[in-house]
Amino acid sequence: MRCSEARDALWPPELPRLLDPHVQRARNHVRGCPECVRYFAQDRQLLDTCDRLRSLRAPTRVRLRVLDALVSATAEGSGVSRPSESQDRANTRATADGTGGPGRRSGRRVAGGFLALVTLGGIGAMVAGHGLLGSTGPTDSVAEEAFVEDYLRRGVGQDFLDSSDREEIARFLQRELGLSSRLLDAPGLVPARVEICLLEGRRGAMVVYHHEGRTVTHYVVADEGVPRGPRVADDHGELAVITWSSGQVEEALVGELPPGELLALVRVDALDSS
Amino acid sequence: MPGTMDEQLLSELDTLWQMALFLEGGDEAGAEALLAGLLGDVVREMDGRQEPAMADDLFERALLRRFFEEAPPVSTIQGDGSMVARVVGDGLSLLSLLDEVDRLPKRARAALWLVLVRRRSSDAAGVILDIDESHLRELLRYRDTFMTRVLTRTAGRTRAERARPGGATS
Repeated sequence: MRCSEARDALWPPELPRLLDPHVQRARNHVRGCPECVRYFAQDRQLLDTCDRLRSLRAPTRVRLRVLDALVSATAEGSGVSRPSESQDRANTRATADGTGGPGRRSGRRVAGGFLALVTLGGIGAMVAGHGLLGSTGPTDSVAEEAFVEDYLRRGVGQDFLDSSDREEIARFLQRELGLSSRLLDAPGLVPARVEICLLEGRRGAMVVYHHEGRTVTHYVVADEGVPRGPRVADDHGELAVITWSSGQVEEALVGELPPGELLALVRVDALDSS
Repeated sequence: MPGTMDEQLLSELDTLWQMALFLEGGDEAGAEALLAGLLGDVVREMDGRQEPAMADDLFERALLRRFFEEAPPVSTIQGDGSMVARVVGDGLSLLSLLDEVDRLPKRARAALWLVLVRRRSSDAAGVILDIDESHLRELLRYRDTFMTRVLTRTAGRTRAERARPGGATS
């Protein structure tokens, strides 16, 4: 058997194949052929290198450019769909059923939800005479629904940091958003990740915490509003949402916990810090 | 699951970015311009419709079309089907790999992306590139030369790093 035949028979090597006589002959050839051994060793190296390539994510500016173009296309009536309210509820139910929710969402669905979110926010911002992003003027509060939608179906993750180091996360928030937001520090609340996100066209961050085997997400968005204490948002199905604002930073805590428990996390944190 | 073009584009954005980077030989500005071109095509395609997503390789094809429309780069190496590189180092440098991609003809880059990186079958890659099997085989002959050069460069970089005072020692 020639080298090219053997390689054709066995490539790609990671693909399961029936051990028919042809494949057996190819394997026998490769075992005794240093050139073919090197060929497959190189292929393995190439795959390993390409794994590094595949870990690269599109930079934020590219994501924003794509989102901006799609939102603009939508604003011009170019057919980007907003999932129906019933679909939103279905997604919420799916989370409650354990068939959806963070970490279990399909990329396509997630992207659609995120786009819908950006679309709504982006169009609103454009109608109001602001750009999609980077508005520096006074801002309205982020609608509670935006936190819920983002929590349920976040689309295009942007810059992120996987870390449980509170100082490192705080530096990330300062660097990326210029926010000197204090992390929640209630007992049992362990940060795991911080990620930049878009909420109604405004750039913010979400800090994911683990709490007694469950996950809660803390949103922070620059704000120029009126300080207000924590309050439980309206019913959002299985999700509880607590929102509050320091006047400079608007915050929300979202999770599949009873509202009282979630509120306690915020209040305990506030007590600890006072 | 049904999806729309915008949903599909967003869900594939990272893969498309990686593909654009590979095709452009690691040139971020080129990759960004390529994606911007694709984006323009997509927006035009949407044109007032809620376009259902089609084939899984819809954007991959569109990106390749865009890529081929660009002015062709000068190829600096030939696919001569030389012997497999005798250098098998500790691992390839991604930078070296992308640098070497930059020296390949466009169609060879596309073929290597589809077959070596994306692990598409020859049949599928041929369909996407709209070429027959023999043409694809010709393009894939660049693989050996390409790998040889990447491995040699990687080995050279590793040697240089080791030789540098305070450089890697393992």
